[in-house]
Amino acid sequence: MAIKLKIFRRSITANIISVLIIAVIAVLFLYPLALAVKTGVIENSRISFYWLGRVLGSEILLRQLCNSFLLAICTTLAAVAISIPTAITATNFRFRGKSVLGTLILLPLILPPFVGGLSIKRLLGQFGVLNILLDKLGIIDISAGLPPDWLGSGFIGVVILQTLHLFPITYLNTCAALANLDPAYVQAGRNLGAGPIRNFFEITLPLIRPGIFAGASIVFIWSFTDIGTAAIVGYDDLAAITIFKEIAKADVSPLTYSLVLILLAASCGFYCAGRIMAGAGEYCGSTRASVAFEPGKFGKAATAAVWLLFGTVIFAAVLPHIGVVVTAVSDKWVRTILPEKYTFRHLAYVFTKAEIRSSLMNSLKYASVSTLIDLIIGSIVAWLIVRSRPVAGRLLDGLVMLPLAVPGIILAAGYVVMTAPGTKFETIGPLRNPFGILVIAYAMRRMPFFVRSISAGLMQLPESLEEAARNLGASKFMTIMRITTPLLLANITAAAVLTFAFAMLEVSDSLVLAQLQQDYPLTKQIYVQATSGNTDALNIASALGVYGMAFLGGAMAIASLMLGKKLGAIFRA
Amino acid sequence: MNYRSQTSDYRFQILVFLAFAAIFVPAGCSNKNAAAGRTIKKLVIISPHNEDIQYEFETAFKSYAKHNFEWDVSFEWRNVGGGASAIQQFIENSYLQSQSCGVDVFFGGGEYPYQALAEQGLLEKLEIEPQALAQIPQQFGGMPFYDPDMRWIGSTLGGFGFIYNSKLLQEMGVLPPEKWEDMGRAEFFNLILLADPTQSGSAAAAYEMILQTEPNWPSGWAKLLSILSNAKRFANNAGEAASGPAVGEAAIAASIDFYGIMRAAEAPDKLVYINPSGQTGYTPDPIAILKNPPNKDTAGKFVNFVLSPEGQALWGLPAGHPDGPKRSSLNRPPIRKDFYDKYEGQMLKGLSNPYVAAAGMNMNAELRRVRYGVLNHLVYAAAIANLDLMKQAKQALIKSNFDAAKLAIFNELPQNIRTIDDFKAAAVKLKEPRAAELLTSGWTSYFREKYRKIIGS
Repeated sequence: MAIKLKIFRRSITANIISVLIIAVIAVLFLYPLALAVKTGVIENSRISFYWLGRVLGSEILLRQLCNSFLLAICTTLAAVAISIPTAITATNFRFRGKSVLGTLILLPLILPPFVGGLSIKRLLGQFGVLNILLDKLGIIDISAGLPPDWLGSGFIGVVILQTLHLFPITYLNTCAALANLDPAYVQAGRNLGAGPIRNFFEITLPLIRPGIFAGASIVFIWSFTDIGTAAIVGYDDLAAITIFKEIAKADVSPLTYSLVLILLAASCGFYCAGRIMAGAGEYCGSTRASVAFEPGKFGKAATAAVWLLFGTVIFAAVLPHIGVVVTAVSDKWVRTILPEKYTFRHLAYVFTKAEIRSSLMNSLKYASVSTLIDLIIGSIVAWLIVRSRPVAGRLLDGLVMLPLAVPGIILAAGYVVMTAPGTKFETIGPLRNPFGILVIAYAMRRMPFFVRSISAGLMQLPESLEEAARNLGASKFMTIMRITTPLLLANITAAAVLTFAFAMLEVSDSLVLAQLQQDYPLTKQIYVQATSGNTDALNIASALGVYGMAFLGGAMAIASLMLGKKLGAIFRA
Repeated sequence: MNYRSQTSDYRFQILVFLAFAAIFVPAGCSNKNAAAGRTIKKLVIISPHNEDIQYEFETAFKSYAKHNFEWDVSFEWRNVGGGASAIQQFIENSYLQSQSCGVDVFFGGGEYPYQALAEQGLLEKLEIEPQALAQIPQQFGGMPFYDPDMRWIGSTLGGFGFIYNSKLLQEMGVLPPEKWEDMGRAEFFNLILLADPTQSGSAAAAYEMILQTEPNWPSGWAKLLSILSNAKRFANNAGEAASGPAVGEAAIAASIDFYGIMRAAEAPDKLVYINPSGQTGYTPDPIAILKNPPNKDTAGKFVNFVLSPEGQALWGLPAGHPDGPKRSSLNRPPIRKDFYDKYEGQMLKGLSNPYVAAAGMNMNAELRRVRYGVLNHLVYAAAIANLDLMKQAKQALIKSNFDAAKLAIFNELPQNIRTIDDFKAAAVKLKEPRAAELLTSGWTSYFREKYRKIIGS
């Protein structure tokens, strides 16, 4: 009787907490989204599909939606194309320097494409560094005709930058899928006479498909709705960019909110499609190895080839950011391969400006508070989902994963409507004190990663350890503090550091929701500096980018020191 | 497995984590110190002026106020995420909701938004000191330098021209442009960087200036379109466009004079800025006080400071000059005439006295006013919304050696925007969301079909 009552009580607490969290998410996440969507379909307090019809009838807006879709497809395919060979090499073979390359290939995750964009025109522009180099080498001749325009409209530039930033996500997912693959299948295939290529296409690829899809769906949504990269590169023909420009105007046409509705529906649709496709093969994907896996060892030539493969990918990913560092220290750089003069003026200038210093402090403030919120709510949610399993557990699980499918720009649009002048939330709006909405936006958008990381740890942690402590007389609190938390610390720190790092790099919400100079985070400051019109605009923005990257590099180094290989775990969707 | 040793490992990690937290969390708790003693006055300014300008005027006014009125002034610069047009929309929208928009001063952004706001009664009447007013002409080159009802006044002047990479053009064996019409030449196809006039007020002003170098609207439009159709891309702000030739994104860019002069000064051997002779006029870059400002007294003092000899000197003197800006040169011609006498020979290089420069053109301020706000949307429909098709049509034109029939189709204007009255009617439609969207999407389809016809024939 007493035991029954205890279980009952426990589930009551768990149920109350889960309902509370669902309510919080509903108010802070679903309500603003609903408001943004509502503005698109309600005119003069009546439901009207007029504006929705105008969006769907507009050749330009449809083209922009198609371009966004095409961009996401190209980025995702390119990221998968880079990931599969690298992941197979890293997982299935042993070679010299494997651990170094395995770590370096994750580097692009902390190199924001938004910052890399600052130098891409200088490097790949029609009269940029690459073409000057080719001209010097005699490969092209500028006096004979126009040199090739590598970036074109800018679409290619955005694809390159996004791919080089995001491929580690598909890489990690592919690695995880490969590691879970039972080598017996491949051996069986080989025994039956299949060659390596046939084996790959008929056995390995179908079995790791769920892992690839899981990573690809994150990359796809990210690319589909990213505004930072395209805004800096100057490619405007995208639905998300149109929304961004219109929302910045403060007098937003209902047409824009109809576009918001369509973009939201599309990204949710793509996300669900990705989940379904990822889940389709699951029955055979999660197998335990029935035979020991013996990684193949590479000889010298093969090792050199691997280094070339990894080196090319890493170099390509780092190149735009090297460009940013050089821009930060360049003084005069017009139509030459490298600057003619160098200076530390820009790097120093950043520290002389109170506004710029305060933007760094703001970023730290927003990122640390949002990380703290994620830490608290994320841990509770993970515990509820894995251990307590309340009645609304599945709903809770679905809700905390929802932000993966909701673009930052759309959440920002929701907050803009929610806090518009004249509404009751005006005081927390972008023109008063956006601290609250920025922190909530940051926290909501990273929540899925946090919950995933901690619940993954909890699932792997045998419940018997906690039960043993309870048997020995430890209280529940004592058990959590002495047993669960220390054992989960790796997951918690990884999630916290990465959540923190990504909050520092957040672009969509920051550009829209921070409108007063004293509230700017670092990313908005970089954007404002880059577009200031000053002669040294790019230099100053690059200098800020350099500090941002240095800061993140430090955070990641600490995280990877602490966690080693577990670092990538949280990007596995 | 030894859980005990693992636990002690994690103890180390807890320490590191706490250290992390110790670094980051205090950031959330920092507080601004309040200055004690003197009266603290607040001033809220909304401005598309760049940070250098903000910094110099803020620093100088703070010490001016401390010295003359014994005030400490705390500045708040509002940014609504856009240029002059975005600011104008923000202000109009704010006054729909309440009696004040919480901002005192609107500073910079060209005269268009000021005229529009003045017409809607959203600007306070200014009280300018007579010594300052005596040094500013009411009109110059056809342009009013301050509002006849004194609701806005120019504080500096702006001209327009283009910047090009002379070394690059030389390598390509192409003669550099000298006049606006040269920018429309076939050899500059896809080599010019321009700015989107719906995003950049100065781009809008530059396009109007190009129109006014022709005797009538159809020929002005043809000239403007010949330049627009040579664009590689339309940047979101004038500064980004002006940087194109330096960065290597394009060979030529249309530019505000001071952006061009500043960039050319960085690499005088490679970059050249030109004010096309007889084809550029000076327009005022105003300052105004918004209706029902929260800090009216401070706002009035600031406006008069900007027009005082001390404020004017910040625009035109080099950084380091005792009366000049502290940190960086602002490179803009001050509006007061006496500045040019007082500081003759001490001004920034590249800056000339607009009151004696003979190269200026006469502008029709009324035409500018009427076309303002409408022209943006027309340019957007013709060139930005249909960028790819416009380029293909231009290519087809070049290939046909500007076949007269094709050129006539290319230059043709939509039926509903052929006269001045059409502009007035369009301006009314643009105020209502549904009518505005129908008008602009109609233009977009019109240009799209026209370009397709040229490409297809």
